[in-house]
Amino acid sequence: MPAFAADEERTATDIVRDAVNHWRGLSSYTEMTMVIHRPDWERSMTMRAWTLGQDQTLVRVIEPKKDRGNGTLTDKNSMWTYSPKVNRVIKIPSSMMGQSWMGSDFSNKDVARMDDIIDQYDHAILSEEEVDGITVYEIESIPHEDAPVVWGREVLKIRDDHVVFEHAFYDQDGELVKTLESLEIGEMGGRTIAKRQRMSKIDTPDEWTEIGVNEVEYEIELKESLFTLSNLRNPR
Amino acid sequence: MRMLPVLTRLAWRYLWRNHRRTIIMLSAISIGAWAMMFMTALSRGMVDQMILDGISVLPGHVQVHNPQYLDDPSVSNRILLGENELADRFASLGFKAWASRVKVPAVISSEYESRGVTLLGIDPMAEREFSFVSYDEVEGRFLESAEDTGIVIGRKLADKLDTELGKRVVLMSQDPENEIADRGFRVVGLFTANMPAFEETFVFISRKAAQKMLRIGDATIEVVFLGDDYRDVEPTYERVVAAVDGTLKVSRWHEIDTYLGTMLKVMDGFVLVWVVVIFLALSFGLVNTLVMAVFERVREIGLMLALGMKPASILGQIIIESMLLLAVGLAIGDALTYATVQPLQDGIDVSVVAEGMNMWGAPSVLYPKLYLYDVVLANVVVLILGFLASLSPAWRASRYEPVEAITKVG
Repeated sequence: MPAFAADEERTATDIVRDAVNHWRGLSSYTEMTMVIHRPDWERSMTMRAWTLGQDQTLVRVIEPKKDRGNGTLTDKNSMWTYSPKVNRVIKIPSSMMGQSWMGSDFSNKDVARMDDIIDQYDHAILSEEEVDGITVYEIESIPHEDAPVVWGREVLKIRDDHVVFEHAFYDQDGELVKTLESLEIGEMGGRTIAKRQRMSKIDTPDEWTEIGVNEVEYEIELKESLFTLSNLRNPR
Repeated sequence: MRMLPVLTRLAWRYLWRNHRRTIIMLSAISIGAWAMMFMTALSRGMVDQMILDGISVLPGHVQVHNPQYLDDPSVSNRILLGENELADRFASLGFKAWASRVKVPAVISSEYESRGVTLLGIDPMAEREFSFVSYDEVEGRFLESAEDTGIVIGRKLADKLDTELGKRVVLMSQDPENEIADRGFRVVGLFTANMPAFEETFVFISRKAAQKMLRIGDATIEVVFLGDDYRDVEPTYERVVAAVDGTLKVSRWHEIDTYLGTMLKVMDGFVLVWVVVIFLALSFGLVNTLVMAVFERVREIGLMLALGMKPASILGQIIIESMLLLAVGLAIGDALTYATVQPLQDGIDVSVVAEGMNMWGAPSVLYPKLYLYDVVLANVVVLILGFLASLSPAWRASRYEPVEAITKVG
């Protein structure tokens, strides 16, 4: 019995790892539009993002004009931002990691530490079901006792083709707090990916952030020098 | 001097000749003296409690830090001595209590909220004696050892974070390389403190857990020492200075919390100012009474002078009169003060205005403290100033021309 349990857990972890790898690839270039919606206003931003391996990410805003050039660089657990208006690179201190990233419903931590989901949690398959001919695994991820995660548990719905269908965050009483849903799934850059995702809180249904992928390329040649502070400041 | 008993008798009798006026004056003096001492006792009690509470949070009367820590309380400015090295230096010196602790700013988050707090990594056994948290009154349990993996937070903080006993929270701070250091902890205890502000400011984890989270090996941030009396920290200070080398900064508590230190000094000055202010109000009544008393018996004074009494004796008699009046008034005032402070020893509940009091760090229960020093100060100041105030009417009385005085109509 214990052997079986271990076996099953490895499988669940593998599914999660594959999903993260599928989303990021070994390297990637994405152009995306982020829409931040609030009851009385809405704004959208278009950004370009490059990723290399598990650790390195560079995001740069191209629109709207007033935010053009704002950038975020992450390397392992560290995160820096650059704003041309103040012409300063600022390292995000730990005290600000929980705060909102570029005014969205994502926190800095969500952006900087996406792959924490793999090794800071225990994963278990809750159910498997067939939707439109594709197997969807429902995986329950419970953070380790000392993991820097506030959630009680997270439930991921991952399709057989590694697309994350839904990511739900529950508090420690088992109440659903927020969800990241994939609204549109399709072919892009040679892969099936979530083309539009929405993060929303259960308490405030009319506040949400949507990220739509406009263009994506995977497994491209990226230089390490792209992910440096000097490149964050002076794009080449 | 030979005349003194006679003059005293004359003065005493004269006081009671117009007993109504004397009684009014006596009540003014005694109520004034009571107000001086009672108010002083109240403020003394308040300041004492503030300092005791403040010291209990520091804690320790003498503290050792990295020299840069007080300007920049970050984990980079730590003490690079292991637990054993510290024990080698301090354990045998016979301090009442000492402990080493990790103390850095941190952020605590629950599912719903994040707050800035001061993270204390402590050895709960070493701090039992002088912690501002009484371990037995903690809801749940307090940390049990220097290796404990739980976290104890304040009741108020738990409410703010919308978390509770048994739930997990995340602590985030920085390691010496400025990398993020974070970890999840399970809330094992909720403490309450005299000062609601403390409940929101401090979180306790074990020292080992803090060192591991911040990746500082077995280095520590501050070492605290408790002496016998917070008013006299010099003996402890000197012993600690002798035991550390120049690379560490040793500070007395009033150098670390200058607000509290200043408070204590200001209090001494305040008592004197308060006593003098009340006396000034009182002195008008006193001088007036004496002037009246002199006016009333100009003819009598003239007669005494004519019979051969020296002007100096007249002067003496008036001054003795005023001194007797003050002495009796003060005695009643002292008794009154004692009688009112004594029943209030258990504290006056001022929780109605607790919120306001807490804003400037005062507790919500007042324990009046009557110090002998303050009583003596009030009495001596009143007698000396009273003496000076009565000089002028007494001087005038002694300068009367006998013939004019006797024939004065009135």
